[in-house]
Amino acid sequence: MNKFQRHLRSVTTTGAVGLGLALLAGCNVKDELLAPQQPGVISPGDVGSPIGAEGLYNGAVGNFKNSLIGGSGNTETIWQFAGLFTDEFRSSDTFSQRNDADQRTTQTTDQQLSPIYTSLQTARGSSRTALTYLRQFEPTTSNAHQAEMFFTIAFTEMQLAEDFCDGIALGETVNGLPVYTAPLATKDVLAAALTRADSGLALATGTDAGTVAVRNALLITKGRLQVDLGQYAAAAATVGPVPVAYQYAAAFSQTTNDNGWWIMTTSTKRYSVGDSADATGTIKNALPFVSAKDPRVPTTRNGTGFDSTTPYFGQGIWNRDDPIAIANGLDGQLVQAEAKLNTGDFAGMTAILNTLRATPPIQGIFTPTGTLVPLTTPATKTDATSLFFREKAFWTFGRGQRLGDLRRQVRQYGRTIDQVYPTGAFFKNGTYGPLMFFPVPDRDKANPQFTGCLDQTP
Amino acid sequence: MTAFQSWSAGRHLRTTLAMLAVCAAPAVLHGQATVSGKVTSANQPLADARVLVRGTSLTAQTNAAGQYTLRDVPIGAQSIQVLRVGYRAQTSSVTLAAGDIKTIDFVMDAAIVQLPDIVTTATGQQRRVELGNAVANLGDVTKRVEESPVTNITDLMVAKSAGVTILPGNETGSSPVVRIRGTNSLSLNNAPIYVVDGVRMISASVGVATGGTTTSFLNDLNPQDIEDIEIVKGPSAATLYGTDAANGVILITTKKGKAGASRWSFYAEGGGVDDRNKYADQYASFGHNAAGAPTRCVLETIALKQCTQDSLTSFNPLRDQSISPVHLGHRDQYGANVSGGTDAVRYFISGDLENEIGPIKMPSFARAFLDSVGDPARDNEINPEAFQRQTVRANLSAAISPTLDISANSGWTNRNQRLPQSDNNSVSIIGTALKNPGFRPNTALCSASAAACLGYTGLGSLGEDLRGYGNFMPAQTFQDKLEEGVQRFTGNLDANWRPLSWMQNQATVGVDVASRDDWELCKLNQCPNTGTTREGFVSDQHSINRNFSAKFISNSSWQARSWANLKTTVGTEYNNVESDNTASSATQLPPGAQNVGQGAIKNGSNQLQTANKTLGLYVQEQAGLRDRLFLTAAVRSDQNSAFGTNFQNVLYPKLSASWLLSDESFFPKYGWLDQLRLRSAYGASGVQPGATTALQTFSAVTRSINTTTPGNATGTDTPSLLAAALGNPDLKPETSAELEAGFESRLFSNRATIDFTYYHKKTKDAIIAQPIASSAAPSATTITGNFGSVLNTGVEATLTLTMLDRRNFGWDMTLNGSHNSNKILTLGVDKTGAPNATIGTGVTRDSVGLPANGWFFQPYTFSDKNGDGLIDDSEVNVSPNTIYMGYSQPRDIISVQNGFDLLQRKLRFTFLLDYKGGYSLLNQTVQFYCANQPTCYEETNANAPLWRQARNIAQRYTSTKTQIGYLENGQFWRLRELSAVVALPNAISNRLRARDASLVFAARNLHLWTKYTGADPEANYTTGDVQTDFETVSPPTYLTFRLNLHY
Repeated sequence: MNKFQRHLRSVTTTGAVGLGLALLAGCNVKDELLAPQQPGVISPGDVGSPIGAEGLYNGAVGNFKNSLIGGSGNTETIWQFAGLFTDEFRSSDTFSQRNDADQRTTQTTDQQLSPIYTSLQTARGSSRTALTYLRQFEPTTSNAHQAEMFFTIAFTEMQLAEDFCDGIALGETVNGLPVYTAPLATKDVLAAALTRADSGLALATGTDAGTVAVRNALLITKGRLQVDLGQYAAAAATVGPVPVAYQYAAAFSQTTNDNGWWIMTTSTKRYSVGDSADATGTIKNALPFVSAKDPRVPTTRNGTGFDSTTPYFGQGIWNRDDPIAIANGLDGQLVQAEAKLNTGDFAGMTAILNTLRATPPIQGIFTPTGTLVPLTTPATKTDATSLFFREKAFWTFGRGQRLGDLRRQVRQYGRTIDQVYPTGAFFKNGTYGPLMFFPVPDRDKANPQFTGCLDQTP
Repeated sequence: MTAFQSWSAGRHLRTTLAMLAVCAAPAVLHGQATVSGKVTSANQPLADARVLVRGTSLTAQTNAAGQYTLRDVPIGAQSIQVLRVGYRAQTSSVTLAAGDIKTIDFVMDAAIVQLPDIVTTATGQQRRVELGNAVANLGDVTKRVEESPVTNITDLMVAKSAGVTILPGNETGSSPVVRIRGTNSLSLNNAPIYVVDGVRMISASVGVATGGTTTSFLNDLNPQDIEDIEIVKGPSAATLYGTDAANGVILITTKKGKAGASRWSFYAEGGGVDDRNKYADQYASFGHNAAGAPTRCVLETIALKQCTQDSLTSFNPLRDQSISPVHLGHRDQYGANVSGGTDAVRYFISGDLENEIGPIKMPSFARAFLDSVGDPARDNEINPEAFQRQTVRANLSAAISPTLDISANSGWTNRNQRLPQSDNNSVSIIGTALKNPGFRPNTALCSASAAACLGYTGLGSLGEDLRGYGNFMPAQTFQDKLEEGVQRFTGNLDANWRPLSWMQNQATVGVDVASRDDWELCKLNQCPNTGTTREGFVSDQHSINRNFSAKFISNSSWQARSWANLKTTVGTEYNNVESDNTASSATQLPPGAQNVGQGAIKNGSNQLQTANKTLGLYVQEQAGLRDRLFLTAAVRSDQNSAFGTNFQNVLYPKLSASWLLSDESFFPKYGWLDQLRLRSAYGASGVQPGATTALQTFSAVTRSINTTTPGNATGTDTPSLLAAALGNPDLKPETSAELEAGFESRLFSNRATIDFTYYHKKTKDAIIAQPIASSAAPSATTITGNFGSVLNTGVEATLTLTMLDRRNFGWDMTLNGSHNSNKILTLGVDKTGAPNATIGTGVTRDSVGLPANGWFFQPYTFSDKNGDGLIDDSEVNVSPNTIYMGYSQPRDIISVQNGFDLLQRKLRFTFLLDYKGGYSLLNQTVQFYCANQPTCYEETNANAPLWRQARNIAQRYTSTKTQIGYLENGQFWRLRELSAVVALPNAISNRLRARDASLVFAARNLHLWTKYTGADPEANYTTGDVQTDFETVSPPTYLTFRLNLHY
């Protein structure tokens, strides 16, 4: 065997080894070795059916509830953060973000605000996705659920508009790709939400209990939107058919989510009920949620809060898995009372409020126990306005309406910020900040059309 | 066969043929001869020397008698070389004829500088001079383990190699962070991979319910079993390790049997584990307001004349031994191993038992409290920081025939450990201590009048005496039991077949299987009174990690010319990294209940099984020219189960050159220069996406709703779906391509070596979880894609010096230094096609032109305008602009190791200094307490320097707040290791019937020099890329004694 032959043999042998390896890697064996890609993943193919659409509907309802008040560990929702921002609650926590919200100095980079904003927007997206699947796989049998998805979208957009500045965008994600839109002024967000509510009402025409419940929720939402837009009379007409006892509530359970208020108050003592005075003295504009000892907001003194320094006052409305009303007939009554306020019918307004005080409607499973003495009819618009918003604050305590109402007092009732928001020395450090609403978080900068807050008007 | 399979098979055939064309230098069959002999030094047989026929793959190892045999040696002129760490290489030329049996003996001279000349590569063992890339070798690991304070693999590696950044675990049995040559990836893990005896090792950190501190599978390895550790630093060297190797590869070789009589080693170690860190004192300023009412003053109110200080107190439960949870821990370790056998069968068998009790212990007053309430503390509550490990290893090697060796290596580990509640955790042991009122309280007084104690009542929410702790007392925080148990088997079968003198084939099949159980328990009426904890809860999580590795390598060599040797390698490798996880938990436990089945409310989940599978094929051609110039070209092709469906495989090329310049005839000869080698290498490797990242998915959730009457206050737990990950079918691996160049030089009769490397590593297709604006209402907050590009450049240098080498006194020194520059080149484009400038809105962000995870803050200025020695909010001006403030990872690493031999080398004294610098560290512990408590130094103590007052004002009192004042220089020098080794006199050894014996005193983390104002600049609980010091237990000091006996 000469040198070349030996060379050839070595090429052949080495090549044979290589070929064998290549075949191993390249033939059927390869697919077996690399598959299955991931067992157990729920893929789009698993969801494309009527039952899949119903599953997405359930998920969307859950997301909607959780974005408002669902409890999940040490994270809060918009109702809670807005409660801190107003006079409803104060931070008894060590999180600087919570202290900032309490002080009204929340920044655009706030690490608590950003997920709250995202949670609201994601809830909106979940409802849109569910709506798409319901339309595709249950086009004729899911009108009530489709209507409910319009309700959740409308309510979420209303909440965004009430609590965040001008500059909210309402984009969508289609086939896994984001479709960004221009930021909108608050009134345009409210108008968009109103359109969703009308779309839902057009679908909720059935007479079964489920459809009626959704229709009432849509009517309440539409009425509140109309109030936000200054259409008081129309709002009163909208909510008229809704029974006082009606409620659309968020339910909780220990195996899913606990009531978010119970987590942040009773369980962890991170949020303490607010009051009109603290270690710094009287807090200008803050309502006495503790010292008023109003049966609508029962409180209990219990040592110090999570930060070990702030005197802690717990709320007595919600226990661990108590439901909390998202929309209810009480809201409708308050819409009607505000309509009376704006027509100058202070007696009519007071009558509605006194009726509620005499027979407090159930909220979730909570009914105030104790006497609520009748109110005296105020003589002036100023007094009537103050009385109405005080009453509304106690009736809707912890239900995400207070910030929108403070803001509306500036926007629609001609008051100034230092006549409405807690003002002066802040009990932890410095003074209350200048914010009237939450900023759109920097996280939204991924939207090429992001502008931040378009302005600082209420 | 599907169309795709057919296409794929055809494509691979074409690939193979193309590779064969590349294999331009095949081997040639020769006749065969046998060479044997004996290797000695100082008239003693020298075991473990490697004898090789240069230019071939033939190698042999000397047995205990120093004997070796090389069979099937090609005929003709051959060069036989002997290499052994600590000795100068010897070479002998011989001309062989077919059938020759020749004897060649070697006498080796000890070398002053000890660098290994043989290194492990993906294609087998190779001479270091043949490699164009740098490979860090930890040297004689056995010696290091026996003579220095080593408790885990991290201790072995820290401060030993240039370019390797290691942040050791901060608690007993906690996880380290290892990074090599900077940060490559912006979203994926930047940790290197580990390979043990050819098997991909499970090396993950495990998140447990501590608040941050994690455990690590790295701690399952027993350092006593390790023969060798090599660190393959970057893609230029890791190309043939393929996808997942871009962050470097740690190659671990366990000890193998040596032919000869059985050799036994015994060791016993014991010592203390001491937390000597200076946790911050807290202060209380007793004063009165303008109305004369007693109140707590802080500097801001004093400066604004709202409060007048009457007295200042301080307190620190962590330093008060009567109530502190910090005490002296202890460790002990015992083990034995035996090695021996014949040329045909060799064995290494070892066993080891290690116990460590960390410094965190329940204080005696807390134990007394629990005794008083009839719930006495158990050991797992008294000592929540504990680690116990038993390991057994059996490595067997057999020469089945002159052409076939088979080895079976197996290791078994049983690890049990506990971790205390610490870190970012409302029941952190450190945190509850730091929440003290700033004075030692008189509980009777305070409980009677909180006002007299500045609002501190001294009592917990259950009426318990807190003894100065914040909201919870240690008796409760220590009742939260957290335990982890791991049983693990690592094993492989390795066959080495040499059918022809020019061909060597190696096949390895191995598994690494770990069964893990994590358990947390708070029994009924135990643990801190927060949330529902005292209703009792238990969580139990079982997981299985399985790595399966298989590889086949065929090496063929050809002496094409007398001056040219060619070596062809083809290989394939398959790795399957799998895990699955089942978790269950329960709340509302009845008395005595400890498991999930006993709880009233149960939750269970079965985490998705994840599998990441890689199939690779590679070919390499290496040319050795006159045994001075070595050129290598290689390419590897990988397919991976995590790639997007639109991406099939990736190619990683490699080129390298190594030139022994000083051996060239034209190179001038200098008396001081023994050897100069130039080297350069270019190569690429990658990191694959997460197992399911490419997939669009939905998630299953349960919601409490009423689907019949929407909004009904009575909900029903209802199965639900949510859109989840958006997926990306185009997803492919990150690819890092690295060019490195450098030189190695030996000087002054091998008294000094210099190793210098420059690297330029560019990661393209960097996987980034690109944020999606929330306003797009997405189901996921990010979309993952190959959007980015990151550049790491740097230099590394190692200098070894033998300063003195006398019979009675020796002094050697090793210096390692490295500098890294990291820069993000691109972050992809936004929806309009415009480049993304920055990703992230927090204090660390990724921004183009700046390093990954750069710090971003709003700066401030301050001045004491009124000269009162106090800073108030009017004297601090916070900028509205957020700007880049520096690196978050160390750029500069230096280590200095000195060794001194005394008393005729019977006593060896070594110390190792470790430096890290060039980065900033956010002191979150102090920042957090200053932001929230009135008791921190700069909030209350007027002696605080103005800069400390100002940083507190800027984060607490100004209208725009910034934490930048707590971003501190992380630079430090640490006396990392100190040891003294005494070789016991023969009289004692003989009495113990030992061949030799030594006694070692060793210390780790003995002293720290730093300006960092936290407890320790290495305090960290995260395994991510940005170090996090937040209520974190700081690294302890180890002081140990060890006895080594060899038989």
